[in-house]
Amino acid sequence: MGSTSTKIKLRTSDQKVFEVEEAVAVQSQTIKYFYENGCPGSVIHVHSVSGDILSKILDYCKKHVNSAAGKEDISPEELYEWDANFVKVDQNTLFDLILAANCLKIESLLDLTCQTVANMIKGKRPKEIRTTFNIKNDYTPEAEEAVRRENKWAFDMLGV
Amino acid sequence: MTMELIPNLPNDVARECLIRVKYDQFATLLSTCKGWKTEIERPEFFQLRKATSHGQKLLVMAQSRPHPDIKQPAHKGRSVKTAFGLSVLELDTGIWVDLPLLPHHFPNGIPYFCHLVAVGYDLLLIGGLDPVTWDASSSVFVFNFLTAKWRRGADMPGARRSMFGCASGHGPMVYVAGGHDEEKNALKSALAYDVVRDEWTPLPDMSRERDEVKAVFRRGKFHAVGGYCTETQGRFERSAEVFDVETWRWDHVREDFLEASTCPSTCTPGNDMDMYMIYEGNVVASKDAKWEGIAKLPGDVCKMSYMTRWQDKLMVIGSSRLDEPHNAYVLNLEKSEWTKLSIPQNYSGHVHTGCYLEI
Repeated sequence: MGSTSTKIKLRTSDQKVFEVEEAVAVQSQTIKYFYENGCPGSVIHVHSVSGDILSKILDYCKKHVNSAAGKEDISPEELYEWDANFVKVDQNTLFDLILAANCLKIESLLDLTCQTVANMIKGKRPKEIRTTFNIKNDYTPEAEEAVRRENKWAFDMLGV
Repeated sequence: MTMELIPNLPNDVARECLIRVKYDQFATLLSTCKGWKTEIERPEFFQLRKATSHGQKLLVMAQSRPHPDIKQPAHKGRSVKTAFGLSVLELDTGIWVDLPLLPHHFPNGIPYFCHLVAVGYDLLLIGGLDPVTWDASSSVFVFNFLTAKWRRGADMPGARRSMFGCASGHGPMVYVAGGHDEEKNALKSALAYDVVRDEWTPLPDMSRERDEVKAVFRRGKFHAVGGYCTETQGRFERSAEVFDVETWRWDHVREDFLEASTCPSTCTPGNDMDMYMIYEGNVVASKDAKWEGIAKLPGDVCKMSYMTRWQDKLMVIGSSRLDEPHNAYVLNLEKSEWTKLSIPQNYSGHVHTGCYLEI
C-alpha cells in the first residue's frame, strides 16, 4: 500500500486542478488505472467532469474512505444518512453526478445515484414521471388507456 | 437513432436506474412510454435485475382470510366458510400485501388446495377444489407481474384431478403428476404445461399411482415424491421417482427415498442438500439418500402448514395448535439459526401453499 500522504493531481474539464490523497482518488477505477499506468507525478485529466462536480465527488470518496479506514467514527446508519443527504440535490446536479460516477467508475456512487433516480419514480403516475424526466408521451390516448386498463393493479396500489 | 430511455443519460446508465425500480412499479413504467415498455419486457431486463441482486424476492401464499361477504354463522354449529386469498410477502422488506384477485374469477376466494408455481414474471394458480361445491377444478389462472394482469390458461386436460403434485421446471415448463380423479382413483399419469405456448403435453406414466404426491423440480429433473395408490388409501409410500426432461423418461424408482411412510407435503428441494422436509418436529435434510436432522422446529410452528427454501434460507409457516394464528420463521441453513418474522394480524391465517419468485 502506498503512503496515505501521496497526492494525485487531477485537472477538470474547466481546468481546475485538485490535489487529492491517493486513497481517495483511487476510489475511481478510471483514475486508478491512469495513476498506475501513467507517468509518476503527472496530472490526470478528467475531461468530462467539472470542478464543482468533482469537488462533490471527492467529498463522497473521502467520507467513504475515512469511514472504511476507521479514521472517522461513523456508524453505518450515519453513513447511510450522510449518503441520503448527499444526493439531495437538484436533478441537473444528480444527473451530472451519475455521469461522473459512470465515467470515473465509482461503483458505490453510481449505485447510490441510480437508486435515487429509481426512487424518484416511486409513487408517481406515468404523467408525473414524464414531466419529471422530460419524457415524450409516444402513446396515443387510446393506447395509453389500453395499457392503463391492463395495469389496473399497479394504479390501485398507488391509490390513483 | 435509438431512443433515449431517460433524456440526458446514456441508455446503459438509464437502464441501471430502471432495474432498481420495485416490482410494484413495473406496470407504471410500461405506461410511461413505449421505449420503457420495450426495455422492461426484454428478457435481458429480467436477467440483469436478478444478476445484480436488484430483483425482489417474493413469497406468494394461498392464505385463509375473513371473507367480507360472509357474515357470522346464522345457525349454531355451522362454521363460517373459509375463503382463501393470495398474500404476498416481500422478503427483503418484510411487507405483506394482497395480490388482487379478479372477482368474477374467484367470487368465493381461490380454490382450496390449488397449486402455485412461478415461471418468470408469471404466477400460475392451477387446479384445486371449488370453495362452494368442492368440485375439482382443471383451471389455470396466470398473473403476470409486469402487466399486473390476470389471464386464463388452457384447462388441464384429462381426468379432473385433485391433490396432485406440481412444480415449475426450466424455461416455460410446469409439470403435474399423480393425484386422484373424481372417482377417487389415484393416478399414475403426468402432464407438462408450456406457459408461453399455453399448451399441455402428456408425460409417460409414472411406475405407480401417487395420490397426494409432492412434486419437486431440482437440477433439471422433476421428482414425484411419496403418495399412495388407490388400494393403500392414505398409507403413504416411501418411494420417489424422477423424470428426466432431457430424455423425456422416468429414470428410476427409489423405493426407500423417504425415511418413513409419511406425508411428503413439506419436501422442499435443496441446493447443497438434495431435499429438506419436516419430520417429527425436526427439519431434516437428505444427501445421497441419507437423512439427517438439522434443526428442531420452534414450538409455535409445530403445526406446520408450509415450508419453502430460497438461497440458504428455509422458511416455515405454521401455528402452535390448529386454528391458532400462524407464525413464520426463517432458518439460516449455514448458521442453523431461526429468526422469527413479524406477521401483521390480517396475514396470520392458515397458509395452504405458496410459491417463491424473484422478479
